[in-house]
Amino acid sequence: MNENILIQAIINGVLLAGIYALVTAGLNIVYGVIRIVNFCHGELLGLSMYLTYWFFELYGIHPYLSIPLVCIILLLVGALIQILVVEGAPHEAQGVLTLALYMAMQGGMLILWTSDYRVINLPPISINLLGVFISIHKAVALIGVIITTILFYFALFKTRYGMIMRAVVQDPEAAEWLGVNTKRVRIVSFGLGALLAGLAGALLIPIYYAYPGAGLPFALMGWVIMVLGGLGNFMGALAGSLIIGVTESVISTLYNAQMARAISLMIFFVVILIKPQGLAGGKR
Amino acid sequence: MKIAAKRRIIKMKPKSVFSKEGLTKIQAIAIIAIIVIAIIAGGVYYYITTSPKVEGVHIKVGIIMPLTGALAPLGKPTFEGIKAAIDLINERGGVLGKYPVDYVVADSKSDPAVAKSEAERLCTVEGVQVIIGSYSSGLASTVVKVTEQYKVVLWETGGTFSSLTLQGYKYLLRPLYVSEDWGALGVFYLKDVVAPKLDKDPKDIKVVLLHEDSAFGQSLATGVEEACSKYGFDLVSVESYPYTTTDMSGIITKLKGLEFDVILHAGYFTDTVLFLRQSKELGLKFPVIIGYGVGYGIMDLWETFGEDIEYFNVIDWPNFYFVDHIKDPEIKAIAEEFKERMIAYFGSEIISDTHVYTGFALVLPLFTHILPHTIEKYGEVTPDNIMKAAYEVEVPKDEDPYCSGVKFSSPENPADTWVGEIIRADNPQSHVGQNLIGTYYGYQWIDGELKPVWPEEVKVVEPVIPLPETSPFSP
Repeated sequence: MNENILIQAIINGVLLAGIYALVTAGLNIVYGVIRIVNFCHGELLGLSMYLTYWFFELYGIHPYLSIPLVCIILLLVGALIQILVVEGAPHEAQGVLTLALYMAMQGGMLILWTSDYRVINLPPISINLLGVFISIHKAVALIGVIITTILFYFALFKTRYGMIMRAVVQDPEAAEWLGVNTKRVRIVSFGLGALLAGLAGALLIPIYYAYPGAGLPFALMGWVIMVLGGLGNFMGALAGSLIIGVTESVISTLYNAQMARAISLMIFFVVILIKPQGLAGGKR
Repeated sequence: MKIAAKRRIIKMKPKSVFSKEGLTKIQAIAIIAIIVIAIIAGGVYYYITTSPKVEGVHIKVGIIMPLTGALAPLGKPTFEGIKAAIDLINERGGVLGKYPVDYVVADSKSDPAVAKSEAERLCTVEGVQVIIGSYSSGLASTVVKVTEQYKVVLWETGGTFSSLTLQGYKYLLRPLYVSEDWGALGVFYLKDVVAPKLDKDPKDIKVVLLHEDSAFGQSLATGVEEACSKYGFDLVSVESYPYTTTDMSGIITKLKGLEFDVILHAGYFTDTVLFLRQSKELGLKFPVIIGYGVGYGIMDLWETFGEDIEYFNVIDWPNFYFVDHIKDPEIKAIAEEFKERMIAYFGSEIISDTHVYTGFALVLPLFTHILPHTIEKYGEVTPDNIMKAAYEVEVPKDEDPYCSGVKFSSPENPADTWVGEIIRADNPQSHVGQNLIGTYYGYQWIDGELKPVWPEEVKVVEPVIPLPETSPFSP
């Protein structure tokens, strides 16, 4: 085995991990505060891919430049979902409601934009570092993850609103007794989760393609990584993304793609067997 | 806060349906009334719309296609071709110029469960004699069980997986060629066109096979492996992957570590786009690539990559270039009118499209040869008579818009295809209801068009092999 090939495989894995981490971050923020698994996260991601595509196609806005706009739209969509769909329902039904929303959103996108695949024709570009190729679009996605994680860390631990959010996470009832508007915190959290899906979609469209259901494969891996890392835990999700991303890449390079998915999921099951609360579970 | 908590607890208590928080008696009666009305309305609709079992010369066909859902980008153009073929026949008075074809359309939504219920509706409520469909292997395997149950002919125009015609189905006719042979024809192209251009013997040509791992991809890969073994090509690696994959960098990195001359790739559109994008990013080089139609033969690929895929080789169904090869004047006139109509509807870029043309080409023989023979010989158009006629008729190459001819194997004489007789002579397959003389054609992407280059009699341009230095994939 050529040394470069192994290095290339590891770098591919790290870049892939960036995409997984970005998707998982949005799921985690919703779970962390509202305590539901957001089943429509993939469709929010798909929606943002479509929005980015249409901004590019109709107005010529580069996908990276449309990130702020797409994120704001998704933030509002997420907040509206929480207000209109999730908030009023009994907690036990809220996760199922997001599942129903997933189906409704997929149907809506099918009606609005048909099932055609929408591809943004940006040239695939990479840099060659001593024979190791690094995809620029994936590197941008990875940088996006790093910046987002740092921003969220500061927002959660260094701001007053972050403190309020953490209070709601730890004990929503006590927070409410102390005068915290927990409803608003839940709305903001769902909105932020959707915003992260928006960021992920805008960063993914130069690499992938939009169609109704485009976000689902990413959301599936996001759910697995969310459990692997520890539900609602950001650092755990980063570690989980790295494990799954690098394992998949290296194994598919050394053996094949089926083996890669099987082994990465086997690692997931082993971790959950040994530590059911996930890699960083219990220390939210 | 306490009040809210108390209320929640009360809500969670088990309660009677007619309790204060549950349904009132009026609400319950209203719901029951709605259900009863819906059942009665459904029954009345069924009674009104169910036509009696068709006898005599009344031709009614059902078209079942994935018009929405994941397969719709390919199902819709195929449907346009099928519909236009029936319209053109009806504009000429119908079958034999006097029996118009009545048709109903069903959308399978790319979902086998929906395909099954729609096929049942076509067989029972609509009372069709033939179902034309069903586009993919997954959908075909569901629809065929329904058509066998109701003894309705399934004229399969999309499901290529080999085992469909190996089950001995009595009401299945597949004018389309099987996927195993599709795979093998890629290797025939390698032998007839690529090897001479590279000036190498087959044993000196190193081949990589890359395929998605659904029934379609695996069946196609079997054909490639059988044909490579038959002709002595050096198959250095076989890589499979799920077509829903979101990353192919691992496979590409692995291929970068191998020495090879040719990639044979069988994928759907999305994974093909992913493979080519990531190959370009990661600097994968190859002298020759042969792609199979589903991923490589559609205009969207050119629109996505443009000149980057110039001189890529494709093995696929016929496209509008094949109108020029039809010899029979009557069939040619229909095909030319179809071509004009489609150019007016879609624009001139439709010339490259294989799905619209093949939808048309695969169903036309049903109305120009099989049904006329059914009427002339048996009088009544029943599924049993259609099957008997189909086994008796051979559509000559010159009268077939697909340009290969149609000859179905019967349950009495199951047989292997012409490609099968070459690549698996020692272990022949017993197909029933399969067109034994079909084929696929070789193309190259040149100037944004998919131009036929193989076999010799359909060639419109000399293929460029290997990829020129201007290609980003050229070594």
